[in-house]
Amino acid sequence: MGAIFKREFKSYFTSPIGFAILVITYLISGFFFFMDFSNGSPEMPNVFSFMFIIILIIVPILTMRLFSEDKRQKTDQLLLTAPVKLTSVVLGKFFAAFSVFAMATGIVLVYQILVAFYISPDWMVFFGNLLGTFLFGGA
Amino acid sequence: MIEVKNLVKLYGNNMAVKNISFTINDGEIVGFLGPNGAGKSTTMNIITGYLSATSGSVNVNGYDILEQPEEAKRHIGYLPEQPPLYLDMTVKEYLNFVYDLKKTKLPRGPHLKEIVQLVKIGHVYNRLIRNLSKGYRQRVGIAQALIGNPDVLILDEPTVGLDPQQIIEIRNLISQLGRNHTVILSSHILSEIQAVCERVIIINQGHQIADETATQLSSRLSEDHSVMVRMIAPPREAKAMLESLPGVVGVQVVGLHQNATEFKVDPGAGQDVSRAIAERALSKRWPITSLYSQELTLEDIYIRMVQEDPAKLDINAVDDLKEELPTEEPAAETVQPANDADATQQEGQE
Repeated sequence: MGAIFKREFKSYFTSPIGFAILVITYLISGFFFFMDFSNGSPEMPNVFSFMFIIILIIVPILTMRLFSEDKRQKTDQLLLTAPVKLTSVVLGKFFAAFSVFAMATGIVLVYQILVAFYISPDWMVFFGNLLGTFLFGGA
Repeated sequence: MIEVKNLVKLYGNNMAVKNISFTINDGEIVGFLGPNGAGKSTTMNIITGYLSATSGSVNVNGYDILEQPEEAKRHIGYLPEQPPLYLDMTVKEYLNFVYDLKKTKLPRGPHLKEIVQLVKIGHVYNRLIRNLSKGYRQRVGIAQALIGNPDVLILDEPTVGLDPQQIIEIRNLISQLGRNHTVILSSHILSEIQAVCERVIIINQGHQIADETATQLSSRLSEDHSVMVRMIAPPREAKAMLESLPGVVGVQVVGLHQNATEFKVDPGAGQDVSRAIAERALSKRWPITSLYSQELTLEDIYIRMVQEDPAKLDINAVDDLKEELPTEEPAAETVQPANDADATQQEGQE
């Protein structure tokens, strides 16, 4: 599973897809953060509603390639004839995608630190993580 | 050791693999032969665990492929028809990945280095697989099958796409590997199978129609043991001499090469006339420039066998799979004499 995780994670960054997703997320959410910050609201409502939408979009982009690429290039034959449990294969891929996802949504944590005057970040990060896992599970 | 029992694979209504059974012992090199679409790759995919059979069982070194897949797969190195390569990785990354994937215990550096040297991909080690030619990709595919030094190697058309020199290298490699590993090789290049494999399994339309050594097959189907001899001798006398030899049924003059006349000598069934020819020619002081026994090559055997209705030849024919056969044909353990009669008819066409 570790081997698969490493490989898939790397492949997100050898192709433009990993960088593209991160950059777009950071840019746009940064913009919304700026809006929120200038309004002075500690809960950052705009950022989070935007995050929600962004997640809906990037999760499928991250995950749809995972198995279909393998099927198309017939590399699934390698994975399925290797002495590794199917569960490991699935988990390895899941964690790779989730890591990239976490990197994208983790920007929220950064914002929260910047606003650290008022609310401790715990429940929001928890919310973001939970949401991510929930959506990924759905995907 | 691989045990395959009564393998059946259905794709919807299409029975791709019809009751195939065989046992391969350690250290054997077995060739899988058959036309395209015969079911060779399907069988190989089932053995390696990529597909599951509709019924039947596969046992690798005592582990059932469905009950204990991890242990079974650990003993197998598989090169499928299309090598499963990740194009966005370099050869080095890819081989390291496969090493981790197979959870190999052997020392990483030396083991990978050894394989790279064996398959001769050293100078493309750091190149992206996407940028390799087909021949090199094929070699990387072979390399990945070798990682972990598995007991069993299953190679589906390993020399396809290689240039003649590479083909010879890989063929030698396979022979070499065959000393320490069990190898199943599938190929369309019959001369290759003949050169490398001790045993041949012929599959046609899902039926297994032969499972024996190449020489056994050859002698069984080879009623035509004609001997071709070139002698420097007066043609008429030589022909008469040859005809007078015991066991000779017919003599034909087939050509003239420089000073030597070439004769085709037909012996009766089971008669070996080569020795008699040599001795008599020597006693008459007629130099023999060429003397060989024309046995059927694997090509000839293969073509004859796949032209027959495979259901008739099936060595594992089972009652409930025989719905297409006329009722007077009994279940066959080996190719029936009736088919030899058909084969002799086809002889005239060659």
